[in-house]
Amino acid sequence: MLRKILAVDDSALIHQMYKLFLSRYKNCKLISAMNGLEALDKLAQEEGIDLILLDINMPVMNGLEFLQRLQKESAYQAIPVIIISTEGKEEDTIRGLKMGAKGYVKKPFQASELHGLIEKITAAG
Amino acid sequence: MSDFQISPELLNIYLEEARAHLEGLDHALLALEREGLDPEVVAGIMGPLHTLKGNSGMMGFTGIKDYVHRLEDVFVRIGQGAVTLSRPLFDRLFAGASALRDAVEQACRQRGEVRSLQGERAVLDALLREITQRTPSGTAPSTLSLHPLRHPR
Repeated sequence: MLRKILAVDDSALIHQMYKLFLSRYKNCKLISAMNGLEALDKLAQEEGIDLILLDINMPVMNGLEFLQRLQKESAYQAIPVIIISTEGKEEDTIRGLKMGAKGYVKKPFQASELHGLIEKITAAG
Repeated sequence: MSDFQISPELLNIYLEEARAHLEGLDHALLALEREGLDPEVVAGIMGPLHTLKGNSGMMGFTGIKDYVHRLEDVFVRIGQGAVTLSRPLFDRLFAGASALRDAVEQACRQRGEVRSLQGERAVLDALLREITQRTPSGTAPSTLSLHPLRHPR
């Protein structure tokens, strides 16, 4: 059962969409970060994060840099990451998958598409 | 198109962010027009354009998303030095930015796209075709360099 999801995106719109979307997961806490650096802080503050939804294109620290840092931290390596990519940056998505991300969806994505991927990844984990 | 239910709250957040991104676009165009090619200015606008594209797609504003996608392609080519910054180029880009702002504002007011950007998109498509035809290697300037910029705004 998902208890804590960390969403990393530089857009307030996407965070609000996640909030609406994740309301279907009962008792699941959504933690928001606006870039990779903020996400690392959240990981250090919050125990038991079950899943990370990760945008790639962000200021301060982008998604690929964040994944690189994640790989170096043994405490976080087991947390599944889903890349939320945008049309036109396919090479970054491939790099992210090579860096350990478990899957991806491309904006604009369907809520049902993201839900299906979360189910698949958390069931496999 | 995403199946998220588009509420007034989501429209407000989208509009607020889009206005900031469009302001960034105006500043980038003005800086390039006044100071000439600056890779930092070009790199600095790519992030906001990418986010605006993604957000527009999530809101179901496909015409806006597609236009911003073309605009990203144009900025990539500008950053590569494949286009000399000139009056005709800026005339097109400023007109496009104005139309884009209009399309975003109207889409949020009407809760759907009403202002077509097809004409403006065709302008960018033509520009990109011209760059590709003239500079297959992607290095030499396009014909827009034949009209050097003389009177910055």
